[in-house]
Amino acid sequence: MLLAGLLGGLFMTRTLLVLQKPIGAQKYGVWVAWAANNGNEFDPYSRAYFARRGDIPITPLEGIALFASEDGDGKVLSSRCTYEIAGSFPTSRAWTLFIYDPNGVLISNGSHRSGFTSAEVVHDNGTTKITISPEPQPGNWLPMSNDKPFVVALRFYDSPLSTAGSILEVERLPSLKRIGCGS
Amino acid sequence: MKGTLFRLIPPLLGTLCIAAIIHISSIMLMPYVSARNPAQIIGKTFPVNQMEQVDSGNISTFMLPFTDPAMRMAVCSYDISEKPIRIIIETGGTFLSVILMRPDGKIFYSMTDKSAIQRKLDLVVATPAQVAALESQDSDDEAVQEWRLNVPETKGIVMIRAFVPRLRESADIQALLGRAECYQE
Repeated sequence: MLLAGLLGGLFMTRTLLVLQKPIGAQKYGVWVAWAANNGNEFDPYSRAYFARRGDIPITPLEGIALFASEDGDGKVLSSRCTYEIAGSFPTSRAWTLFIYDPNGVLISNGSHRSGFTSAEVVHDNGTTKITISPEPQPGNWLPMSNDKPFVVALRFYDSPLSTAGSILEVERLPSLKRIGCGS
Repeated sequence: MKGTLFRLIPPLLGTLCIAAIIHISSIMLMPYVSARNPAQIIGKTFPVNQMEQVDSGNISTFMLPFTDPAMRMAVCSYDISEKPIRIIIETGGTFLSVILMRPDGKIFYSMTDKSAIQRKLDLVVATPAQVAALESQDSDDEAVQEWRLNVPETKGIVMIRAFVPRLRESADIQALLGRAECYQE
């Protein structure tokens, strides 16, 4: 009984911390975000998740971080495919979009381009579009190589969203769509 | 059959209770036991009561995963058991934030450059007793120009993150963080 309870409890912990949408996180379309209470306080599940993953979250006062590891169809993001991130980018003082491997290491490629900041990105007729693809693309292109899963992190600094996580709406965020996959 | 079922209920409930206790305990303990706790890693890597910039030369990206490469970082691993520490940060036009972490990695305080007074963040990190001692020395005629942060534990981490809009501005932001100070009063 003791051993079964011990194993069961640890299994439950492990399972809940490796979910695509862990307890404590909220999902907005493809994007997963962690909300905190009272300015800085993350709930115990979120704190356990961050401690296990090892990253230092940004607090709501600083901004908001959104992570996507799946496309709109629920398929794991793969560097073999082409994705388009476009649409509404909420108001913020600055934003960044970077791609990481599932362990949180920045994906490096031949062009040394792993992401964009709001100051670097090129706008076309007032719209922002970023393409992640193994094939060269016009505009804001993030080149990919190898056939590996990846994670997109989109961070908004000093944004009205930061302090009002509960009103975050999918419509106010950029979409992430798979355009196609190479062989 | 019914009797067998009834006999199974107590051990099942017992197993469930133990599983729930283990689960809750492991969730609560995770920040303390995780080998990837960033506060522990920073505490072991950097000198105490001294501001140091974080870069690939002193810490691997494997050790601080999902770090935003557009943010330059500087840390001060503090110990205020004897004296409070003062943190002085110049702010420029770029977004800059300061967070304070407990040794278990819990962020208990954060502020941004919006709180700067005359483009400067002047923070004193102190225990409640040290804050009381500072307040007793305050003059009634002069407004206090520093942020006094009453911290729950004598050890922790101060981390500054400053936004680098474009790669070519990296050296400027690096110089800005290079002027940040952390010293014992």
